[in-house]
Amino acid sequence: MKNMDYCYLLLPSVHDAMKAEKLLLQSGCAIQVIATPREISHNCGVVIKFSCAEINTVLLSCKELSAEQKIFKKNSNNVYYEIIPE
Amino acid sequence: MAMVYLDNAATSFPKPDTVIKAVTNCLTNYCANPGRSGHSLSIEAARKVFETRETVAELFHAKDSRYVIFTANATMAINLVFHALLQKGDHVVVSSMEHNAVMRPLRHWESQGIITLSLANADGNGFVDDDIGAFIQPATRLCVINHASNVNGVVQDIASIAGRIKEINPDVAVLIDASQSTGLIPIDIQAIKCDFVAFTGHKALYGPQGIGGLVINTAKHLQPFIMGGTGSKSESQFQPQFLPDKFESGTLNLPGIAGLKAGIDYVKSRMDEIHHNELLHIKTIVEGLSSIKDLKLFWSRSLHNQIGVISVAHNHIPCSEIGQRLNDEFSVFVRTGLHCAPLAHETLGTYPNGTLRVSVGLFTNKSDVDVFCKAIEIISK
Repeated sequence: MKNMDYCYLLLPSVHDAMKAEKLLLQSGCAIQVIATPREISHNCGVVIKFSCAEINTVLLSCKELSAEQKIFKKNSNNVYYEIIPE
Repeated sequence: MAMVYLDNAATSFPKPDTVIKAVTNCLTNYCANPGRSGHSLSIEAARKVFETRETVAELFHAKDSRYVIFTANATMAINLVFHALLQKGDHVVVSSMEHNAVMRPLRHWESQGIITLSLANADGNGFVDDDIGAFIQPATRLCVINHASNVNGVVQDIASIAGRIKEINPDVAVLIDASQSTGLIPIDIQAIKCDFVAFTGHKALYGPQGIGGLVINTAKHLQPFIMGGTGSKSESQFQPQFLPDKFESGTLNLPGIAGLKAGIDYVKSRMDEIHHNELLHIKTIVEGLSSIKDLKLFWSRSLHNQIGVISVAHNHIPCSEIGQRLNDEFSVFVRTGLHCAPLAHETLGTYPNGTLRVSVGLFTNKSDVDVFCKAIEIISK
C-alpha cells in the first residue's frame, strides 16, 4: 500500500470496525486495521485504512452496517480531514 | 474406580478437546486486550470477540451480532435485564420454576418497594401453562420464564407462553432463562417473540466457566448496567449508547470467549443428537429406578419435554447421605439439596429437604448411568 492516497474509515465501536473488516475482505478490498489516529478521534479503538481509489467499493460494502460511518483523508501536510463521498 | 460425573447441570465436565485447545491457544498466543489498543495482538483479540459474537447471534437467530452482550454468566445477564428495564412501580411476573438468579434480585427489589411480583404457579411436574397471561396487569413490565429446569429438567413451551403474553400486551417484555437449555434445544429469539435470552457458556455449550451472555431482541429504553471503559468514545465521560458497548464495560473474558466459540462450534451441528442421547440416559434412569421402594422420581413424565436432568428423593434416607455415599463408595458425582431453586422445589413438593439431582451430558455413557442406578439400588436397601 505504498505511494497511494489513503483514506480512513471511522466507526463508532470496535465491533463495527471488525464487521466492516469482514465485509471489506469479502469484497476483495486491500485494507489494514490500525490504531485510530489521534487527529481523527480520541477513542482507543481502530480505524480501517484503505486506498482512496477503493472508496466506492468500501462505501458499497459497508452499506449494510447500521452504524455511523466517517471517512477521512490525509493531505500532503499530514492533516486529516473528513471527506463527504459523492 | 472410574469417576462417574453426573453433575453437568452445575457445569459440564469434561470439556471437548477443541475447547481446551482454543482457551490454551488464546492464553498462549493472542490474549491481549480486545478493543483497547491498535496493535496487531489487540486487533486479533478483537477479531475473536467479533467472531464469537457472530457465532452466538447465529445460534439464537439474533437480528444482528451487536445484540449479543457478553457477561460473566447467566446470572449477570439476568441482572442486566432487570437493571436495564425495571423502574419503580413496575410489576413483574415469574414462573414458580425460577432459579435464585431470577428470584433473589426480584425479591430484593420487591422488599425495597421498587417492584411488585406475581408468581405463576406451575403444576406438580413443573409445567407452566399459557395462563401466565392472567397475571399481567397494566403495570406489568416483564415476564420471566425458565426454559428448562435445573431441578427436574422439565422444558417449557416458551413459544406458546411468550406468544400468549405478547397477545395480551406486546409491550410486556419477556426474558427467557436458557441456562440449562442452550446447546440442547434450538432457540430462535425472533420466532418465539421474546425480548431477551440469558445463557451461560459452561453448561450445555461446553465452554469454560466465567462466560455467558444476553441476546437482545428489543433494545428500546434500556439503561446501562455496568458502566465504564469500552474503548470507544474515550473522550466522553458518559456511557456510549450504541450496542454492544452500552452494556459491556471493562475488559472482556477473552479466554472464556475463545472457549465459548469452540464450544458452540462443537455442539451446534449436533444438538439434536446430544439431546436425544441425554434423553436415552434419562429413560434408562427412570426404568432403572422406578421399581425401587420408597424412591420418588421428579421429571416431566414425558421425554418430549425434558432435558438430561432428573431429581430423585428417598422417603427415609436424606439426599445428602445418598450423595455422600455415591461419592465415597462409588465415585459417582451428583448434586444434592435445593440447587439454588427453592421456589422450584416448593412447586415440586420437595422443599425444604431437596433432592438428589442427576444431570447427564455429552460425555456420559450407558455404563455411567448403569453404575449410578446400581449404586442407588444398593444404597436404598
